[in-house]
Amino acid sequence: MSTPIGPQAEQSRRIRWALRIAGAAVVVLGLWFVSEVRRSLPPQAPEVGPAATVLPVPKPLPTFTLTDDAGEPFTRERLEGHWSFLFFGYASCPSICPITMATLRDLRHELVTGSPPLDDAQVVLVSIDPDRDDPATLHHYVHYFDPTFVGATGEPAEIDRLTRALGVFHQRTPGGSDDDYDFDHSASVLLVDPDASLHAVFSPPIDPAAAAEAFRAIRKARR
Amino acid sequence: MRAAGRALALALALAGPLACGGNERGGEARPAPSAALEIRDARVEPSPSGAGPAGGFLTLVNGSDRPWTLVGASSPAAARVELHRSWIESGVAHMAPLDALPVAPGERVALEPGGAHLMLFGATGLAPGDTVVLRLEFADAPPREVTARVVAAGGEHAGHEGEHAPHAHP
Repeated sequence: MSTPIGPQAEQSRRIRWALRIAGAAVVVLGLWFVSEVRRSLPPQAPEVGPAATVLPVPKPLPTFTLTDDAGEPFTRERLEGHWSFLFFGYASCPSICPITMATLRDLRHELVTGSPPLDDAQVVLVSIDPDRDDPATLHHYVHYFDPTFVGATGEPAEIDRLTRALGVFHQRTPGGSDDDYDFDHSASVLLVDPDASLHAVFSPPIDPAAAAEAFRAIRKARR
Repeated sequence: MRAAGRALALALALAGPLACGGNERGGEARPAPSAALEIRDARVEPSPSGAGPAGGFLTLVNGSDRPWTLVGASSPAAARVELHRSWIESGVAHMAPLDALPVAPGERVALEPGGAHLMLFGATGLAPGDTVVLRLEFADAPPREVTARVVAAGGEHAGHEGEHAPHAHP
């Protein structure tokens, strides 16, 4: 192959350089475009099956001050550093709450006995009935289901800080007699991650085995 | 299952007047034969906290050709007993007092956790293994007494979706 000499050779060299620069520019622009498109897309929650709804972006919880079933302060810090399952109910609810509490007991059993065993998630019942659920009543109630469960309640304004942030509905309703009352309340279980952010929601009816599996998938996806 | 139930209900509705027409009920036309009205599996679950009301659960089986309507209950073991209904709608748990729980001819209705239930107020000191007498009042039949066994709450019904969740309306 003969090497071109003279002005034609110079021109073809320039063209080759121009093509190289244009090619590099296309690659750079292309990469930038892809990254911009990706950034503009809504974040994708991991696929964990139908048992749980995972938030695309975990929602940080506000600070709050409640009292736990041992009479100790229960604050946002108690939700940091480990996963927590939160349920909002009340101890004198004779029907739905025991079902959910028993489901949480079975869910914890699935986690502790599964592979690998997970024993670091706490289960918290937040009582929306502070007038009737003092720490001793809550202690009896949560320990009835599992001695590791935590009960917490407090001033209505503090409970509301938490329920508003979590999208938990609760409303006092008249009971069967004048001195009695009940509550309408969200029957969902809320999963709070180690950053104290709402991470996923388990809606009723909750199957303990399916929920345990979803929780394992959520932990794996977050790592 | 449902079709069979309907067929049974129809058979009972047709057979009822023929079988029991004159002899068993005699001249008395109103009340259904009590043998055809069954109360099964009556149980009481004490409040897990020890402070709240106990839950009362049972199954009403109406083998007669007439409606059978539970309207109230009482118990020597409780200060008062109320009829309530729980349900979950759009993820929210509701509970409301129930005036009446009708059981159509040939049907059965289960009072169970998550659905219609009795609430025994002031029923303290109950432990699994005890028994509790429940007196049930009906709008269209004489009252009935049943002995309910006391069982642990949240035990056998953990994660259980009732197949006969009653959709009764007050």
